[in-house]
Amino acid sequence: MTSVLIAGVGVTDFTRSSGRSEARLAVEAAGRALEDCGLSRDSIDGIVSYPTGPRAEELIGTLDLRAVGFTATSRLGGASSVAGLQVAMAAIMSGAATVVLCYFARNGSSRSRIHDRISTLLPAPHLREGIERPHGLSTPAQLYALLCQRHMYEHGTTREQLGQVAVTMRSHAQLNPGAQLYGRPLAMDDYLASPAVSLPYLRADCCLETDGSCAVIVVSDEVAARLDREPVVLAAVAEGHPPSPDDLVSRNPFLETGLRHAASAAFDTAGLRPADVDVAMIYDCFTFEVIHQLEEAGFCGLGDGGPFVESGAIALGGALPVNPHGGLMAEGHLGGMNHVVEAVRQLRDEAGGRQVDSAQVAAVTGWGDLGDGAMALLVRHG
Amino acid sequence: MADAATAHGVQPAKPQVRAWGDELAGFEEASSRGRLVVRRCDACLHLQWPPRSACQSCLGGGFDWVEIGGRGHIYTWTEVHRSSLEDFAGSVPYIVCIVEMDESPDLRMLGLLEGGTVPSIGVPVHGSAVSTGTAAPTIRWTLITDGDEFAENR
Repeated sequence: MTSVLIAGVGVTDFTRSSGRSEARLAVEAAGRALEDCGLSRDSIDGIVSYPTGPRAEELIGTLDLRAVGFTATSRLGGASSVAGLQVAMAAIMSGAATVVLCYFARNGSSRSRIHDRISTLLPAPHLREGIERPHGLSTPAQLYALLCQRHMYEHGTTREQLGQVAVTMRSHAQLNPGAQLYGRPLAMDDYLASPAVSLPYLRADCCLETDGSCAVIVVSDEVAARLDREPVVLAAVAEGHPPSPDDLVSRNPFLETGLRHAASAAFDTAGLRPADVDVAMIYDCFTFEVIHQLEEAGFCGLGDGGPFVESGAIALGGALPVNPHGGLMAEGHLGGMNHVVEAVRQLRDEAGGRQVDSAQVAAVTGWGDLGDGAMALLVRHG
Repeated sequence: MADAATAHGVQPAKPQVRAWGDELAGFEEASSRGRLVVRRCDACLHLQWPPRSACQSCLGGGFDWVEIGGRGHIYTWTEVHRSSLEDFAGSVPYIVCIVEMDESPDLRMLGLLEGGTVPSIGVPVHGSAVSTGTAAPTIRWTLITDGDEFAENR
């Protein structure tokens, strides 16, 4: 069977205001990803785009690509970056493509902020416009706060455990000069003093709207064999959906997510277990979503996410280092494509001061829309 | 009327389309008369909220709107301190609750809590549907306090 690998990754700078278009950002990141693996742009024959931002045609036009015979987009909100890897993998395994460019590009800080994006991104607009919006709910922070509050009630998850996630992500970012919040550490007291957004969520529970782009080049083993650069093996990718993925209010069980199904499928396919994972990139749109996904992916028991985080397990040096780059909360919100980039860097020993010693297996999760999930398992080559 | 307006060079107003879709029309109509309703499948009597394109239990497509008692218990809630919505930004903080209705543990509804008291999960509430002008209708919860034995009859 064809194996599928990630050959190259590329990023722009991550800023509050890029001063250039999203299409320009995407082209820059794509160019760096090609340079990273030594492939020419002529070799790109497949493109997987994120649901928002520049479309495949714009990249085909600007990069003057002549060989593209496959384009697709997964629509799982923030889980689309990881779910898109599954589409790229399927395209390669079917023979539809051999070199697939996956990218995310957004001026999320200076232009398209979350409340503008949500109405076009989320499914079932009649539920958003007809029920949630008239009741004053229009942002993910408000909707997901309802999940967090219930988890605190059912499992005793505490404010300090949420804070531990924020503090850990920020401390990791202090080891990443490319992180937006590099040089700006966060203490627990700072976290606790952060203003309320939608309780239980404070501002410091939320990720960081960002301008920038990330690109990843996924290739067949035949292509990888011709490259000088050591690739990373894409061992498995899966997506999953909770009950009523278009409506959180009526979901039963309320705390079930798509990741539960995606993780189970990905681990089965790869022949790996959660205990085999050396470093995890968890989609940290908000602090509780890290706790929640650690449970849903099987890294700890259901309801045990709070104590797991509190024990220091997710910090560098802990049992399961999470987001050494600082994640969406401190490196920047690049739709989780920066999580894929960091996983590749960790498995190539390129992560500098935040490198997890001899990391062999990395897990990347995606969380999107109202609880869709995706997981990719990446393995060191050779 | 429209003809007269056109004759004077005024474009007739477009027919008003509900941004929230026709599937909520029955809820809107009942709310304007102060009745809290959900959909009930004609075929299998499953109570459905929110409205969907078919019954999840039997895939039937026929529904009645039926009034419910309005009593339930708070399942979860959030106190919103920042809103980008024009009609809410000036009224923060406000509390939004999901309530599990007494009719069925599968029936949960979203609403705004009146009174400003920070609630606890599990406490009983009573809901009513409120319709104001052309805005989409809303559900308002009030906490049922001890000794309020008439709450269910409000």
